[in-house]
Amino acid sequence: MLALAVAAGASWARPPAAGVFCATYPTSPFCVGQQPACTLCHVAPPQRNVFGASLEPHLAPGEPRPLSDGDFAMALPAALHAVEQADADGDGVSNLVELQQGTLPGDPRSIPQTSTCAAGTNPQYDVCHRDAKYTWKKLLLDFCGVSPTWAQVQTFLSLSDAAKQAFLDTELDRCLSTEFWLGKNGQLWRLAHPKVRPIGSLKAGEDEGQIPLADYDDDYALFAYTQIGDHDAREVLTAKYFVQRTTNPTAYSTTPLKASQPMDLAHRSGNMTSAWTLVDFVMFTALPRNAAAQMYRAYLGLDIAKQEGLYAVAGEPRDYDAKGVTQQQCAACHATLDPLSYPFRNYNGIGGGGTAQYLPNRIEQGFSTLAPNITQIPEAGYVLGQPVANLVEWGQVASNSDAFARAVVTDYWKFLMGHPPTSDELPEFNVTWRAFQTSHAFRVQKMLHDLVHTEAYGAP
Amino acid sequence: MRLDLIGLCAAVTLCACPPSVTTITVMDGGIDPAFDGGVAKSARGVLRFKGPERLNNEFAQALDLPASYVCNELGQYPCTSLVHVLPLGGVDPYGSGLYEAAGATSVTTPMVVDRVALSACTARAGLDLTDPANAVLLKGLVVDAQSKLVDPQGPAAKQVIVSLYRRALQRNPTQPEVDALLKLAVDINAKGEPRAAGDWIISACFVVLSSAESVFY
Repeated sequence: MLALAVAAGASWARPPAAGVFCATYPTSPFCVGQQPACTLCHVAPPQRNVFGASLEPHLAPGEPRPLSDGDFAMALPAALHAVEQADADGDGVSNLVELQQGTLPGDPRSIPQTSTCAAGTNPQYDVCHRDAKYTWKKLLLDFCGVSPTWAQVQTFLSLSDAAKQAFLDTELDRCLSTEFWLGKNGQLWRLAHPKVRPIGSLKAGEDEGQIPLADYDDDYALFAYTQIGDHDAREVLTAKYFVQRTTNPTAYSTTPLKASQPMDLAHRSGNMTSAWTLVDFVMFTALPRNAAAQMYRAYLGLDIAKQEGLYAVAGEPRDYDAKGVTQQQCAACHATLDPLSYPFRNYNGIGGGGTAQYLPNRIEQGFSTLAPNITQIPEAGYVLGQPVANLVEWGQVASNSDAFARAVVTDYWKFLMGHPPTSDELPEFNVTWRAFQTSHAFRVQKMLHDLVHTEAYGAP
Repeated sequence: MRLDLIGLCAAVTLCACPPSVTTITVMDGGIDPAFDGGVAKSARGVLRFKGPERLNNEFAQALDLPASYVCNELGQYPCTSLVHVLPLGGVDPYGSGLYEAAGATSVTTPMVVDRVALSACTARAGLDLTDPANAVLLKGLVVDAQSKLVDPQGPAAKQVIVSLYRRALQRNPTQPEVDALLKLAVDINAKGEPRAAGDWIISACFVVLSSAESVFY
């Protein structure tokens, strides 16, 4: 496989590729609030998938390889146009249609979806359009955890069409305050599990583990708080406060201090700087790439391990900790990951003069002998291609981004539909996350009202 | 075969009202994939399994049981929140590091659903037989000294079936559904075993609670 790649010439996922693609197809779903992942053309750089391989002969044919980034950028639009009518993956859909519909032209399992109505009708539900009764029952199950009773159904059916739609909103608000939704281990906590990644044996506080290091209940509490009421979802990454949970019934409220959270407020930036995040993801690391990658994955929906969200920074990676990341196979991702990680340089994990605290000379004090240039790690870095001075700024840039808005709505979309937005759902999905970001000012509750009124949610 | 089964479930569940007459062609190894349930298919087919919390809540509400009564292994370990949580599509974030559900049901999922449904139905029947005055399902049903049904096809038995469908599926049963459960009552009564009324209501309840329409949404 490697020999094949070498024989075909160097073909690393090019830093300009995503930008050039989006300049060529600005309305492609791959470019609406995001940029395409490397996997659009590659299995994993440098190995191309069938679509990437079909492009190669059309990239400046006859020119010596490897192409410079500039030559590559100049040649890519023509190459893309040259293969538009072909069907690289043989799934029966042309490359152009796949790019327009947001499916992968190099993956035969990824094809545009169409929701066409079958002939005939059913006595209970309209299976072709939004159905109020179906939507209401689904809403109650999704958010309250239980179906309506027979008597409630009869009452609902007696309402006018307009009253039924209004009742859906009333019911949604009721369900969003139930224990099923916001209580400990409720549905909001379930959404947070992959973000917090708890480990019971290391838990401090309630349900203490064998080695109590930090209390991740605080992370769940902040996450839940930012998802309910009229609260700003961005504060999961930017909060300068802590959240406490009370029970019977469950309620979340802010507090400026919390004994379980040693981070000073000046350097606090929501769950990125919680005691649990720093203990679990920074641990004993000088340059905590793991912490940065997890925040990127959990809150922006961008998994660097899957070549998502790569915004290569010129001159990076510098390899301050001498891990060999300047090798070409590593640099494709580390040109994004390392500058993403620099703002964590002074956020300490375990031990070393202050567990889960900000230590201004953390590298100098604890890691100076690790590598010759390690103390040169800057605190400034980059996120989503934008320079940031520190982690607090990292949180602000990230939480204001399209990627954050998309990731929040995608989480709920998957939770409620059981799958990420399909190609035929993308128009409604895009309207929903844009409204969440703009008119709803990142309020999840308002976004959920939009979501349950979509055709995607309410058509059986 | 599994996909075919899900497709069949989707057709039957989303219509929420099976037709009065259906013909199911059973082929070698299963149901004919072309069988559409006799109803128009959903355009989206986004049928979802209810999973541990919702199933427990649903069974508890349908049978008017406290949530903690629905199913407990050895009488003390909750089926849906502890013992069988993973086959039911749940997670185990704190102990096993399973932060997200598998995304597909497992080979043991149907068995666990059956187990939970049978447990809930048995609990309800036991309460109804012990305290007939406050019965939820066996309301109005006349039984003899051996707890056999006096009139297994009478109006009271029919009303039990209607009540069961309304409680579990929020709809009235179709005539074939009523006929099938009445025949079940007659068959169980005919065996002459004691506590036939309890056996019948447990079986009827199990049929409804473990149906595709009950466990998917």
